[in-house]
Amino acid sequence: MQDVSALYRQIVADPNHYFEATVVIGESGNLVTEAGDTILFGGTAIIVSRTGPDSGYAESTIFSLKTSSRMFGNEPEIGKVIAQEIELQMLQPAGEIPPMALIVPYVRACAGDLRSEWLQQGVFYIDTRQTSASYENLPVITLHGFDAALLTEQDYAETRLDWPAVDIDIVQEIAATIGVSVDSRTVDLMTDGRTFPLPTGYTLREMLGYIAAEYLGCFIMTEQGQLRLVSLLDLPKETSFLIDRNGDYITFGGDRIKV
Amino acid sequence: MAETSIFNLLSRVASLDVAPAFQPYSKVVIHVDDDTVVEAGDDTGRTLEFNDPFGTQELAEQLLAKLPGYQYQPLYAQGTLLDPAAEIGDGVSIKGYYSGIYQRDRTFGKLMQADVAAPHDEEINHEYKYKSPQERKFTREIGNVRASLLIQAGLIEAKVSRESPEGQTSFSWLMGDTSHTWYANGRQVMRVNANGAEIDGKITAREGYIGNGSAGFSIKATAIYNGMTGLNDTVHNGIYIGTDGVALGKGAFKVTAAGNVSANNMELTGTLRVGGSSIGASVLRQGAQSAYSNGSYWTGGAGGGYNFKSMADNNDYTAKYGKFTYLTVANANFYSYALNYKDWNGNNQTVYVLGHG
Repeated sequence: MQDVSALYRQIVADPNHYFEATVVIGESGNLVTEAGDTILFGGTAIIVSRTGPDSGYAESTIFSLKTSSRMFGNEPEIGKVIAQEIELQMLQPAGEIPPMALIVPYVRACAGDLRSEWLQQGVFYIDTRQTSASYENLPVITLHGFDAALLTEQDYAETRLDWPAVDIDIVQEIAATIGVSVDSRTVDLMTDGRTFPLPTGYTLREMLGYIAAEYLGCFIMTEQGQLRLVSLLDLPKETSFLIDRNGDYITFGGDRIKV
Repeated sequence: MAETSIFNLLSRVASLDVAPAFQPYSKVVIHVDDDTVVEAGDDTGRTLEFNDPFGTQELAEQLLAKLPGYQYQPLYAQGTLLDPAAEIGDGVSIKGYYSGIYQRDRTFGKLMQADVAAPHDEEINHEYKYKSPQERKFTREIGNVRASLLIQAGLIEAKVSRESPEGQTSFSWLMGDTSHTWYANGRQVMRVNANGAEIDGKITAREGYIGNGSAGFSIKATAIYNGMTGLNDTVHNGIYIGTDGVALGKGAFKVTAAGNVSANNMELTGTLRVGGSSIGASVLRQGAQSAYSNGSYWTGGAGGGYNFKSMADNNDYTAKYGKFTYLTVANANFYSYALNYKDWNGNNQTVYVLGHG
């Protein structure tokens, strides 16, 4: 579960809560109106950073936004590196969307006047784009992308490790190669200290898969865009604590109540 | 710090499909490469299989030791109101069923609806280990065929092998920087290099040519020839070997399919057999000389003898020597007379004497 604030938990516990979404495309863009029109200053578009959700495209410009993640297919599998997908259909943004630009969706919980922090929902790279004029003669663009897991489809060409190398060091080096960091839960999980020879002829993705298999799991990219090993054995044990109508644990003095 | 959590969805789900929990795992199989498989455990439960070129027997046993007690609960829930803070790998409890979130399709909106699943294939989780004859045949035909393609600097190797109850077969080729070689069941059958091709086995061709590019042997469906173009070709020098016969040197020597031999000259150093009988060289020579000197010839006759024929009238015929078992004389000056006498017992006997008049 992603880290959330107490405010988020409070809002989600409200039966009248709902969610808002926004999406950031690219590293930067032009300042636009709520309708998506570029705001000009002396005839010149105003370039703004799109590094945060507050400068993202609001729901009013988004027709549909879907993400899909499948750790395995028809039965439990291990030794895979899974890419999450995104499909975004929205009004064509005013600015130029560079090739393989970033797409970062966010969600926040709302209830009355309360607004939680934005929760990042993945980091994707545009793979394909299609433009059509299907909404009141306005151009509509459909973007499809994958997360950084596909960046591991490259040869293990360069290394600074001493081989044979320890598994977590290999994972750290692969993550650095594709420009991401390693989720802290993965570091906590990979304590076996298995060593591997220099993987000549294998891709980063294959190497990650072989390491994942030896921990009975698969690698995925988290919502924060970090590399994470998910083991089949990492599933928390089923509990029977008292919960509220939303499914959250009811605590007494901070302790959960077993029933 | 983010942690693995459990989400209780209670009944907030549009539809829920649940299958019985899988049997616990009792076996780990690691495919190290095409030819090497290591495994640990037995077949009393499910088997976990994966590929790992670094896999060892020790690893298989270590992983198996971690699996007891782990049971996979398949479920598929559509239209859940799953908290957007949930992640892949978190636990989810729906209507009393508990499993992990291993698939998630989300639609962003005010409700943030999601389809979540711990997927399964209903056909896979058979409790009764039965395979139909068709499934077994499919496994034999498809599952035991392996193929590999190895590409390295200066070497490309491709191999397809099949294992079946009838045995193991394979075919492969290997291409290096100086040669290209084909193998069948591990035995070299063809090799091509700068000097040409070496083939160890049968060659079948509709047509072809063996030579230097301008002259040589032509290969047709019914003949192989060089120079000569047919059995009865008397213009071109060469050789012709066909289904209708064999010929050499503009037809100077020819044997037809019917067994008729013609040759400009022939020298025999051994025995000539005619009609099942041997004729020595001296007999042939003397007979031929005699027949020739008398302007006639002889032919084979009944009883293993020979008949002179077509002898002209009023000519004398002589022979240095000869032996007649039967002699038939017509209009010749031969006569016979009977000589009668009594034998020792007093009985009359007659002998016939051939005389010359």
